[in-house]
Amino acid sequence: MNKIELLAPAKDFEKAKTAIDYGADAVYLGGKSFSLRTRASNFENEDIKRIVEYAHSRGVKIYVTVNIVFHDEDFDGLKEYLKLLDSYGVDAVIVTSPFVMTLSKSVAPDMEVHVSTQLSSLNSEAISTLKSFGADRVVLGREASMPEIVSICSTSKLPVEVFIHGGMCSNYSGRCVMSNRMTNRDANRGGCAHSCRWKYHVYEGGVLISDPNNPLSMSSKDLRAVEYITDMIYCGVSSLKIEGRMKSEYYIAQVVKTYRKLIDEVYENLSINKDRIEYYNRELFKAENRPSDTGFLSGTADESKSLYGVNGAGVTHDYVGIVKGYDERRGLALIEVKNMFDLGDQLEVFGPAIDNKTFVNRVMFDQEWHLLGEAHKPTETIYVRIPFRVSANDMVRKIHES
Amino acid sequence: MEILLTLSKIENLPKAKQYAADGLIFGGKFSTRFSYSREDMLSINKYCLDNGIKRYISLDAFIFESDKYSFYHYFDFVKSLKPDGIYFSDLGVISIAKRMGVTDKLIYDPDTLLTNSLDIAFYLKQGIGVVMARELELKEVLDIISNNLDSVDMQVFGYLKMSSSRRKFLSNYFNHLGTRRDVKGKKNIRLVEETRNYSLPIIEDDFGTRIYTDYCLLVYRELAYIKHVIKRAIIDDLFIEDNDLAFEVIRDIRRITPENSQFLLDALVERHPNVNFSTGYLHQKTVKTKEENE
Ligand code: SF4
Repeated sequence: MNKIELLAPAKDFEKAKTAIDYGADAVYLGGKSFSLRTRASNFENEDIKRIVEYAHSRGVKIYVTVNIVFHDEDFDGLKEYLKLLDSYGVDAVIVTSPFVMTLSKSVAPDMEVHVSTQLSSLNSEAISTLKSFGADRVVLGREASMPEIVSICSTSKLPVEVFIHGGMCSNYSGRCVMSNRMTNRDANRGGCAHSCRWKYHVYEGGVLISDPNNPLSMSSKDLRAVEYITDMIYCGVSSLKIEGRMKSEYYIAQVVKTYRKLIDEVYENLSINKDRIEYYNRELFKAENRPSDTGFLSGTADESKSLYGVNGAGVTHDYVGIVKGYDERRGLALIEVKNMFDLGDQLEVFGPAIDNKTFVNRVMFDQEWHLLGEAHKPTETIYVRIPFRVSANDMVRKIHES
Repeated sequence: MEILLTLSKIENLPKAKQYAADGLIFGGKFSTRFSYSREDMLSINKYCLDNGIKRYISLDAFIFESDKYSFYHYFDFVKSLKPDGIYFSDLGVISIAKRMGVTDKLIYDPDTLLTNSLDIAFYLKQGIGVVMARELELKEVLDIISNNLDSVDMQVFGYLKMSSSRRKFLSNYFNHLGTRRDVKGKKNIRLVEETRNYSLPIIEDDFGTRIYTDYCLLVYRELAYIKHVIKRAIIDDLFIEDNDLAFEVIRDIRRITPENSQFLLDALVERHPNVNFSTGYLHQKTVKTKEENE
C-alpha cells in the first residue's frame, strides 16, 4: 500500500523549504501568473526551479497551481509557462479549466494534471468525467462528508485528494461571485474580498428579522481533520492537503509536523486513540488563531461550524524565535527574535528532529554579552541558555499561562 | 435563437404558448430551481409536446455521493421524457448521461466557470451545450460568441445567482441566536450588507443556500446585436413579482432590433418602475486582484 501523501502549501521558497524539512511529502505553490491567491504567489520562475531541485533531492514532489478561472485575456504565455514548469521537473499542475488540462497534457506530458477544488467535485461520476478530460488526480470539494469520501474512494477511477486543514470558502468553490458584485473583484481570479465574512441584516417581506447588534455572517470556521485521518488512510485517499498559501513559516512548520507525526503514528500502530487525537488537536491549537472544526467531514455544517462576530480563538502559543546555531559547550542558542518574550517565560522548542521540549528562560545575552531582561526587538539576534541540544532552524515558542 | 423561459408555475403554460416561448425550463428532483412532482413533469411535458414548445429539464443541483443511486433513477425518468435539453451543473452528469445513452442533450451551466472561448469550445466539441458565465464583460461575451457562433446559451433576463452553498446560512444563524425560524424555500428574504444598500435575495432549502444579485438583468440593447448568433436566450423569472413581466420580455426580445431596442427598454422600465434593472457585468469591469482595485 502506498503511504498517504501529506501535501503542504508554500508562499515562497523559504516556506516551501520549511514544509519539506518538517515532513511534507509534497508542496504546492503558485507562480507569478495563472494562480489564485495572487498576493500569496511569490514564486519567481527561478525559485520554482530551485525548490524543485531541493524537493526532489529529498524525495518530495512539487505541484504548481494554474487554477484561475481563465478569461480569454488570461491565456497569453500559458503554453510556454507549462513547458517551462515541465522542464524544471514540476510533478503536477493544479488546474480548473478543462482546456488547460488538455493543453498541459499535450505540451508537458510528463507533468500530472490535478483538478482543483474549484470544480467542486463531490462524486465518483464527476471524477470519471474528469478522467475522460485527461486528469490524473482530483481534489474533492470541501462539502463531502467522511462517509461520502469513503464511498467516492471505493469507486473512484482516479486518486483522490482531500483538504484536511485550514480556511474554507463557505460557498461552493468556484461558484461564488459575491466579491465580483460587491467589490468588482473577481473571486475566481484571485481577487476575492471575502464578502461572505461581512455582516448582513436579514429582512423578510421588508421586516428586519435579524439581531441588529449581531447580524448574520456566512463566515466558516477553519477545517481541522485530526479525527478523520485514520479513516482517510484506510479508505484510500491519496493525498491530504493543508490549506494556507498565505500562512507564516511557523504555522506551516507546526501544522505540517503535527500531521506528519499523526500519519506516521497511524501507520505504525494502525490506529490512534482518543487521547492521542486530543494531543494532536492541542498541537494544532499552538499554530491556529482562527476557530476551527471538522467542517462537512462530520456531516452537515451547522451553526457550530460557523463564525459569528468572532475573529480569533486565541492561540495557546506564540512563535518567538528561530534558532540560528547552538554552542553545546556553553548551552547557548543563537536565536533570531520573531516576537517579544521575557526572562521567566516558559518556552518550548520544536523542529524537524525535536519534539516540544520546554524550558524556563532564565538567562539571555545580546551579541555584546550584556544580560537581557527582555527580547523585544524582532530580527535582533541574541543568545538564550537552553538546557538541551537544539539545531539551526528549530523554532521557539512561548507558552501562554492558562 | 430560441427564447427559453423558466416555468415557475404550471398555470403559466397557456401564457407561454400565447407569448410563443420556444422552450420551457422546468424540473423537480435534483433541481434547486423547481420542485415539480413526476406527475407535474409528465403533464408539463405533454402540454409542451402538444403545443410545439421545446422542453428543457433543469438538473442543476450538485450530486452528493450519497445521492448517486437516487440520481440514476431520476435521470432515467428524465430520459423517458425525451427532453430537448438537460441543464446541469455537476460534471458527474456527463459520465452518467453517457453511460445511459444520452449523448446530445446535455447543456452545462455552472453559473460561473464558463468564462472563456477555449473552455466553451472544449465542451461544445464533446457535444455538450454551454451557458456562458454571468460575470463577463460585453467584449468577453462578444469574443466567446464570435469564436463559437450559434452555439452558446446566455441568460438575458432575471436575477443572477451570486453564490451557492451546501450550508444553511439562515437556519444556522437563527439557531445561533436561539430563535428558530421557518425560512425554508421562502422567496421574500433579503440580505442587506451593513455598509451597502444592496438588497440581495436569498433562498435556503434542502440543497443549502443560494444568494442572488440585488438587480434584475435586462440586456435589450446588447441583445439586439447578438440575438442572431447565440443559441438560446434564457429568461429566468425567479423573484419576479409581476407575472406578466417575463412574458413581456419574451415578446420584446422576439422583435428587438438595434433600432428599437432603446424604445422597448424605456417602455419596459417605465411599466415596471419597482424593478431594479441592470445590464449586470456587461459594462462593469471586474478586476483580478485587490491591488488592481486600489
Ligand atoms: S466570498 Fe467567501 S465563499 Fe465566496 S469566494 Fe470569497 S471566501 Fe469563498
